[in-house]
Amino acid sequence: MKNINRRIFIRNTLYSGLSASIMPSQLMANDTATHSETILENKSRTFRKKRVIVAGAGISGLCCAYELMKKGHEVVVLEASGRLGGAVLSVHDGLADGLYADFGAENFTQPGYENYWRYLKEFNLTVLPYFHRKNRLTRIDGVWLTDEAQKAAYNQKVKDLGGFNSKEKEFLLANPSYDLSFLYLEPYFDTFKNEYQPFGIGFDHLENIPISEIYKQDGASKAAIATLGGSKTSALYAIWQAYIMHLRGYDKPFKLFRLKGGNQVLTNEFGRRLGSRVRLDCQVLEIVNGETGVIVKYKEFGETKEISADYMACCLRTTALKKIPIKPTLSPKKQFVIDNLAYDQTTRIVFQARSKFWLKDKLSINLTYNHPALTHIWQVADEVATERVSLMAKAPGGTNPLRTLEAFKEFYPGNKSNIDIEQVLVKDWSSDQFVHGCERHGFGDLGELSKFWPHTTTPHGRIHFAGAYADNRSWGMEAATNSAIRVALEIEKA
Amino acid sequence: MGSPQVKIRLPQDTANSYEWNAFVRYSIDVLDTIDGASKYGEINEGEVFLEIEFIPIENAEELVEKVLKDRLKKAKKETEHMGLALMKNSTCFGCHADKATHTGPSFSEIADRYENTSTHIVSLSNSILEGSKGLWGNTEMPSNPDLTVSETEQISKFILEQGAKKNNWIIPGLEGTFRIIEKPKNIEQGFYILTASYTSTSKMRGQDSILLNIR
Repeated sequence: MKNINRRIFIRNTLYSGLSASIMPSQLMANDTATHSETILENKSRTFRKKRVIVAGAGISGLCCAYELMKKGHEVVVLEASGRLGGAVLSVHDGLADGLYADFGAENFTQPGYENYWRYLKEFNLTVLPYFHRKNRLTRIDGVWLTDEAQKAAYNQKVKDLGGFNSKEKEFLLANPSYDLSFLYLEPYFDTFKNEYQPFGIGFDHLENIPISEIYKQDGASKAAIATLGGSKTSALYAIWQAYIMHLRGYDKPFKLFRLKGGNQVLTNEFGRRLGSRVRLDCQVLEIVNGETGVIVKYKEFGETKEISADYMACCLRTTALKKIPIKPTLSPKKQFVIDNLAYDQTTRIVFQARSKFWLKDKLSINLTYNHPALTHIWQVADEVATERVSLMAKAPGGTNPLRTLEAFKEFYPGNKSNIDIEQVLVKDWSSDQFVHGCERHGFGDLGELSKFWPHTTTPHGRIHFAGAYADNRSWGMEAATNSAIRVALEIEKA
Repeated sequence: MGSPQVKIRLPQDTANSYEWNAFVRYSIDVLDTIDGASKYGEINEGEVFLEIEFIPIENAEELVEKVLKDRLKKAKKETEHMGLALMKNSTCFGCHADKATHTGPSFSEIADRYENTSTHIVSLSNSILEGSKGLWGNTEMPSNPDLTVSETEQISKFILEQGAKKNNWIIPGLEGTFRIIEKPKNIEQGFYILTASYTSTSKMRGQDSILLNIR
């Protein structure tokens, strides 16, 4: 059934695309009438093939181009760098025995990432569970604590603060302590009509009120107020984000996954299907949004070229957009987003070791160091059949990886002489020419949300904006695929 | 062995004349006998800077030429601030910019908060050496133990001086875009002086200055 649909669809696409202007509509109708699919037949009458320039071959650009291509539109993807995938980067080179590591987007969840999962099924990709938060040890004030010990410390803190009230205690019988905020946020959820619209539903005034005030107002105990915090977080933002999490099921314990061979397998699959529609080493320089189309100036191996189309799907992060003049100029609200959106700056450091040395110390390697040169470390690519291991470490942008190694050794909770690390690789996103930074920051400060939302996602004439930054939650690959599909639909309907 | 050749390039269609509030896209060509050519990716982008200065012109037409000549002459003689030279060799520009907020605060935000005093230079220098957290939102700044105290003090001085300059911008890199300011009240015309510079591996400095007419 699927195949037949697809064949009819391609034929219809060809008719409308090649000869829309010269072929009388009756003739087209007669031809398609021989097929039984009336829905598709109708589609063929109204279908108008659009020429779309997609800027950026990160996951959102590739996903958006793939969706548009499937709908029968003509796409050209312009990518400034020499590779596909952007912030999705799986590195194999430099690691022994087939080991690899995701230097960029690291995992996805279930529940959640619904659009992302659809592609994994469509392309039949192998998904592996990811346990990098299991049996974790955390270094706090120089002492290594298990999750249980941290929980005990948390319980003691709550006790010292006078304990939770009966309503909170009852809630926590059925829910984990990190979900306590939902007790106070959930009553607001029913008011939302659309997960993309936090405004105009009677909560606008909450943008300038800290969420801690809401907890107080709704009768939270002193202990709950102290542990939940939020004195600087806008109540509207907190409620909206909690609502989205609730909608996607993140408010219950969720599982983490990654792709076998690295998350770049998916962006590679998009790229393979798009073929030569993706042009690498083509950096967008200027965009003109005209009445009837868009004109893009770009640079290919130093030579300035021009291309025009009906629409643009702009899938560049704002750090790249800052450098691209757009004519006519963007609205002040849109320009504000581009000028002010901030991103996490992370350095990813990968250690290759000769063995699972931590097992000699009866330890987990899921370690949270909380050190200036090493925040977390965990094992990656553990399914590769070798004695060797690859470990992923995170540090702030600009960190020297050898300092990370030194910190790892110095504060390692087992016997240092067991450590058999033999190789150090690094990817500092804060110094990447095209993918400057990681996830975007939230808009949670008081009075900030209306400066960024919904302008982050609004189109500018024929230019539509997608990317991991351009969705209602900043979880990279989910936001990238959601926004890419949104833009493909916007252009389809335009 | 001569100084590196530096050349500022703007899109051809604009004739160096721009409107207020317009975006200006530029690129910088660098050619050095030892380091090589930017055209072939042989030039370290971190050593290339564009300094932008706005000169308002208030009526006196006859003075325009003199003011600009003096300013251009000055631009040619300027040497690089020690602090900037140190920052280029570190990772600072990954998160900080002169007037624009990236992950970390801009130089102008820092200069707005901290006056250029010896106390602030010392405290800023400590933040650079040891890193900081919580002073500017939740973002964490890594420590820079490879620098010395006198070096971080030079950097702090540069940040406070540069950040406080209102009509002056510094942008690293071989290409980029900046936006001309909105038209100030009582001024019809102004000039932007763009000065691109490159310091070669043999510590030779080359630069190029051009004028943009803003109306």
